[in-house]
Amino acid sequence: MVKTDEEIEGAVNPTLNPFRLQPVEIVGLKQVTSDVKTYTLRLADGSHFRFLPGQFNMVSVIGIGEAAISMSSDPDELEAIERGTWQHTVRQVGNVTKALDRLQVGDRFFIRGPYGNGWPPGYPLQRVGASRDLAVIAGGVGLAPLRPVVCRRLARKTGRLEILYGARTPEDMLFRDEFRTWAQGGARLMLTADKIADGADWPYRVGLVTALLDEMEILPGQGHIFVCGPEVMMKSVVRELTERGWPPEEVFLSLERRMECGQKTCGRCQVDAVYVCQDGPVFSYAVVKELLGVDI
Amino acid sequence: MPRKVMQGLAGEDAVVERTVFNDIVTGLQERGYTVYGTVNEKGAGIFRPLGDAGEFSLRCTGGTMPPKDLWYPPFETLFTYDRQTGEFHTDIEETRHAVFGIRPCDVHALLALDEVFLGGEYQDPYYRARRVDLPLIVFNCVEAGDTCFCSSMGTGPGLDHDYDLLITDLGRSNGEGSERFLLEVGSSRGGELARGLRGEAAVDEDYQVKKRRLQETAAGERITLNTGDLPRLMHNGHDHPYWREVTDKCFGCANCTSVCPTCYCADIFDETDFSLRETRRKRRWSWCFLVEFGAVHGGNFREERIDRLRQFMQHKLNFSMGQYGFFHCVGCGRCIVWCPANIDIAQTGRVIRGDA
Repeated sequence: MVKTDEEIEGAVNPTLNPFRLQPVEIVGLKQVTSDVKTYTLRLADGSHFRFLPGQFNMVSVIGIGEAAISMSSDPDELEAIERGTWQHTVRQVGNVTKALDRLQVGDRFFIRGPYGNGWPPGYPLQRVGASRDLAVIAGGVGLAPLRPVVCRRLARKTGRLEILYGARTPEDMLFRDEFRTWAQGGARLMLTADKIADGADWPYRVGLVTALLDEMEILPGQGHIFVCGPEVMMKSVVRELTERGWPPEEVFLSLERRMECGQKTCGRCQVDAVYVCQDGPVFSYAVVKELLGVDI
Repeated sequence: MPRKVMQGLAGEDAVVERTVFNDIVTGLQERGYTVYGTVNEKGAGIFRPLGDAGEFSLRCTGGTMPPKDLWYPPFETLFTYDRQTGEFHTDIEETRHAVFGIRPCDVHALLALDEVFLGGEYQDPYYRARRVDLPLIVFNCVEAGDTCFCSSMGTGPGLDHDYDLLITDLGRSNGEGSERFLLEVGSSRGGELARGLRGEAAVDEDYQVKKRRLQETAAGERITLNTGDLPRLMHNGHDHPYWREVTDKCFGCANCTSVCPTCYCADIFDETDFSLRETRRKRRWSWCFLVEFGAVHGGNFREERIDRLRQFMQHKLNFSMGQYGFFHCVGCGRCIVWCPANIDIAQTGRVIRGDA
């Protein structure tokens, strides 16, 4: 039967437009690497912005466009909650991110969000014990969406935390000035760079992030692994984790896809029968390995 | 059984003559609707506003293009931003379109888009404004087009839900006399429209004729696709060598996705006027066949044409089932008509599933 007007009316709240933008003000700026900045933001209307680690916003610079960018700060940090602030850590690579790069403290832009499921325990249908051990494996700017997880785990002081992080060069590493705090907080940090300058002072590894897997102390059955980085990096990481006996249900990946809406309607992020924007971006490897069209 | 001749129907099923079409179109227009119907223009069946039902062509089957743009236009403005004042202006106007002569396949396609735009966590207010008051006067198909395979997809040639009025051509009695159409009422809105029309109360025999004509139409479809277990078979056939064979013929022109009644992919982009006073955020159709569709910084998730072609067909015959519980292919055959390389999605499905 044809739905009556009332049925359709009743199904939606006509006053809510999911494309409505919220103005945000930049209250802090920090150069993280030569092409990465962390923006500390608050909503211009003073209301509080809530999100889960691993979720993202559609960030708008009007006249330029929108880009999907994950939150990089701990949503439960008391000081940030009091100030109503959160952070995005952004590498300038496209039109929108380059336009963001020209903004200063006090400038405004727009967001809509948060979108996506986030890392476990936000991940649907999957309860991951918060007290179990956790290893995060990141490549390049892939550490940004994992920073909320790292901060949360350190604040809770539950379970072991290992961070395996690789970047093209030591200078491309995000959050270097926080590594000491993370280590003092109890995290085991393992670092590697694809290449280093001749004569550089680099007491860590040189090579791909997979080279760090042998140094892991957390073993299969003891906890979970969260992975974020380029797809080619995630592919070699999960292959080696599988060889080491990690069950695919305990390894979680954050997928990247082009997104225009974040609301399952633009179709751009479809992979097999999932929409990365809302069903993800975080999926267990058990799900990812069955998806057609993902080379992981 | 003697027929009850009605001077003015009370809003129930009836057998009517063609003259009633005009009464229905007029009735809709009097209620403030712009009535769209298939009009034969230079050999193509185009959905456009009808002046009266005389312009309506019954022989267009589903139309060369689907009526999708009535509820999902190729371009639309989501909002306007005034760069001087910093104010946003959103203009969502509820349209009053009616479709006269939409076919069962296209109704199924509309229901598919309802799930996309209104069935999830976020309801699209722009789509909703065009959908909320949209009378559908559906024509069952009594003749199969050359590329139709709706009976395979379970979307036609007859419809039994989601219509306001449903019209089936019953032909002429014994091949003589005037044309007779079975008019079925599917909603209170349809009942309102049928009230007062001239006709005869429908009897069992009329429904039998309808049933027989629909069976004949289904049997006359030259294209078939067995959809039993199709998603699993398509999944398993993702690396079938036939994909390469089809890809080698494909121009990557995106005609198929442009004419598909269920395709909904979009770009969202900003457009600033030359005076720099206003920026409009717009949405326009996009297609998985375009190279840039899957591009992100530093790469493209569907760089090769075979990946894009497979995405289109896998989405229609496999992924949509996992997403929404039904196929996003309604068997309308337009992608086959419009393909300059004669690529046939049903043929591809048959080969991948192992039937050809």
